[in-house]
Amino acid sequence: MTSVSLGAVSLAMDSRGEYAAVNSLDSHVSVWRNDTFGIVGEGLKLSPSACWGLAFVPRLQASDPLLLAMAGGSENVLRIWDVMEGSVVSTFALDVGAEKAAGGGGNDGAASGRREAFMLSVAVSPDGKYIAGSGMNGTISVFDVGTGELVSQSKLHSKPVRCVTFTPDSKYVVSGSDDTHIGVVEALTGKTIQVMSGHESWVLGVAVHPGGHVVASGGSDGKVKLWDMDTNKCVQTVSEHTDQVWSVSWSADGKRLASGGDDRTVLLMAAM
Amino acid sequence: MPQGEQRQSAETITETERESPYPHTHTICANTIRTRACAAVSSSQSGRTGRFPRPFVRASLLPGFVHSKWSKYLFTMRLQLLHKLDNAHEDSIWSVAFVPGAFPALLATGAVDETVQVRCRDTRSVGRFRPTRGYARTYVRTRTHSCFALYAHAGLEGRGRGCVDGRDVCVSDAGAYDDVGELGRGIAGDG
Repeated sequence: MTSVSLGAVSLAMDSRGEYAAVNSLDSHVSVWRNDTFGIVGEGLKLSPSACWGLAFVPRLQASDPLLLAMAGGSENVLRIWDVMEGSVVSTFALDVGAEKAAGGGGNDGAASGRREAFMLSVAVSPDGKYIAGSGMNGTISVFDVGTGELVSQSKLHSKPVRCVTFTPDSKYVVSGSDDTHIGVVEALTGKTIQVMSGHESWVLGVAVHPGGHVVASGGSDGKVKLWDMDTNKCVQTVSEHTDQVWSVSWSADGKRLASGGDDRTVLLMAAM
Repeated sequence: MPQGEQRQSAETITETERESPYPHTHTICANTIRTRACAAVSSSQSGRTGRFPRPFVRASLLPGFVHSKWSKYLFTMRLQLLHKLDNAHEDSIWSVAFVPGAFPALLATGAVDETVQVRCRDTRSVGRFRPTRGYARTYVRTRTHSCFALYAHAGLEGRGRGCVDGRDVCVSDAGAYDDVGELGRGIAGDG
């Protein structure tokens, strides 16, 4: 029997639209088919707070394995789980030394480092080659899925990074942070490309338009903002939500944007 | 305008249109409009070039010409609110995600109320589940005058799921697939 006890922390959709996954706050991951809404397998039960964000590894063909990437939460790792096999096939662990070199960790030693080591969000590049994770200490780490090596690590943000996503060309990682900024870093080098500011509080969700030039964000200030990545500016602010906006999502054709938040409201917007 | 120059202008337009950053929308970049307008003005001012010479026309009167001062407001992607679904869940919504490739479009929302709901745009009705915990049946009640239909419930507690099509329905594991199919055929719109 599956459940979403204590709330659904994260949702993920398979790139082919066939499967979906949800992670509950008690770190129980469930996968179901979108056509029959039948549960696939028994799910994955991890220790509490050991799973936070979810993202499917893109599948080019229906015969490709169904892999689900998970942000490891308090375990500070990224995992890739084979849904059909029911086993974890890859684990990407962050080296504490590398984290400190990138600016992470605390000044009071390993205890503080462990406290801040909390993986919040995960994203897989559309080409399936890279996996990115962001943590409580403000770092954005990119790993090579094939080799498991750490490709780059960026300390762009000074506060927790709650959301990361790749651009459609898989070259850049877009992040939203508690420092109210939205960052764009190069995936391979970790170099900062852009920093966009305009939210009055935490940035809780970001989504890149399938065209690759526009980013939507939702924040703790209750605003949904639209950013032009070419001009680095906010081009529109939607203030329909009355409480913080936790998540935003583009439809696959880029014509619709949906947002949801603490006010229990779902907004559906058309992009023109 | 010499013939070679005309060909070059046409190539410029084609190239600019190909590089339009938003292929999925109706947005057209300002450079395309400017290039197209300049080509038209140049052609009309020359008078005798081209098979159908036109009289002199001011650039600002040409269809599609936009002064550069306003172009940044007119050619940027904009959002328009389509639907606002209040009280979609009984508690905070933490995650939303569209189902890729689904037609009509499906939107999944996950919330603190321990449910995941998958919705489909429908101008006729909206469904709200009153889930019973465990493996008992899940009851669905519909409402009118809203813009979403609850396509299915993935509350997962009792594996109960189902759909609505304008009336109160009761669904269970056995009828889930048929109900989904029936609703899918009955919904119009692109979502």
